[in-house]
Amino acid sequence: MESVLSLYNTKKRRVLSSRETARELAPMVSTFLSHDNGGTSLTIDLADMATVTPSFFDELLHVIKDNAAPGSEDTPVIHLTNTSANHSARFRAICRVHSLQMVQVGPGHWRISQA
Amino acid sequence: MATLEISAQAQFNHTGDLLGYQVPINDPRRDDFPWDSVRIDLSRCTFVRPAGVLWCTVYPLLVAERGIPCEMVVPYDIGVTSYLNRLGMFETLLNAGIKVDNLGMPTPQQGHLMLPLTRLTTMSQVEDLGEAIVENLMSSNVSSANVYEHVNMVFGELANNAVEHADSPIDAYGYVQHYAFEGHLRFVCAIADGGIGIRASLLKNPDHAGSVQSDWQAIEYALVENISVHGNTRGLGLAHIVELVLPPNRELNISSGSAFLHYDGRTKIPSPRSANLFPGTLASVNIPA
Repeated sequence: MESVLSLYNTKKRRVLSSRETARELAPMVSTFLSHDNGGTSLTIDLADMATVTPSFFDELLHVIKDNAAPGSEDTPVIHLTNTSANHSARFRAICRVHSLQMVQVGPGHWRISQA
Repeated sequence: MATLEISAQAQFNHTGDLLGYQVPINDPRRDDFPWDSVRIDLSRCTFVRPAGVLWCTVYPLLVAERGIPCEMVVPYDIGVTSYLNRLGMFETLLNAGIKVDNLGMPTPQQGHLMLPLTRLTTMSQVEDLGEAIVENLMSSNVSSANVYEHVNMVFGELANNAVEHADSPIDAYGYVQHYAFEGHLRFVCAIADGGIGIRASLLKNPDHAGSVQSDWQAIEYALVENISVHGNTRGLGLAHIVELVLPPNRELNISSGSAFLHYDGRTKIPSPRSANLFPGTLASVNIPA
């Protein structure tokens, strides 16, 4: 079963800017990435999001890395859906810092994996 | 009774335009601040830039926080006084017990403000304000969604930085507005606090000790990707703001302690008149609409 984390539906905000808010998602990310749920990939849906800041996204990547299923060596594969051009350009730079590659697989759809 | 008298020049761009404001003796964050009262005279001001607005907010609030009486003389130029009133500056100062003769001006209407001068206290509040800014930007209908997103990103990064790192006894303050300048519409987002400054904040992490020996070095260092008090795995926000001002006609200004940086996307220019302290940190970004 595919795990989908819809940022808007989860936080009910079109603007996510703080690291604190990203850290609040840790329990949900942990559940999505547990072995029971497959544990190897996670989809982050950015539908209806107006602004996701670099700090929020950076912290979310930390949260995902920190909550990868025990025993998995790599960062889980992350799919970003409904991603605006503004967001994708910025997120690619942040992925580079995390040694991750972000590749477009469709309109507004990007795949993030170990570089 | 020893009264500190500080006055601003007609063009109040930054703290270098203040007279009677020597540091460190006039820094209200210091325990040995020697004055019994403070009088800030803006009467000659005919133009006030964001750095001036936020100094006029943070400095008196820090003085009042110490229980020291503070008075502000508003600009004789009614247009400038009206502008400061609309921003919400006088209301903020009056609410803190600072004496301001605002000429009986009524409670300001929001108008061209996407966010009036607002106290920033928590990251959650900053996100709530971000929602309000989105609403106001969309209804203002003065630019594109692309620019709105940039404005909101700048606000989120700068405001969260201030809330998280400033250690400010008066919290942080910020505003977002659009205005016409030389025939062009521009957005400005300005945030300031009365806290410890960028240098002291970075020095909480001993790894940075060798790299931030002055306020100026601290500002430059903080703009580098992955530099943060939390270590070298975080600290992307300011670096992305630097990238955001790369297109023409955008600018970033930062004051912290005795250093002032102006960056227009091509060169980082330290102010030649950087000797006057900003008691905390100030950052503003200017983007064409």
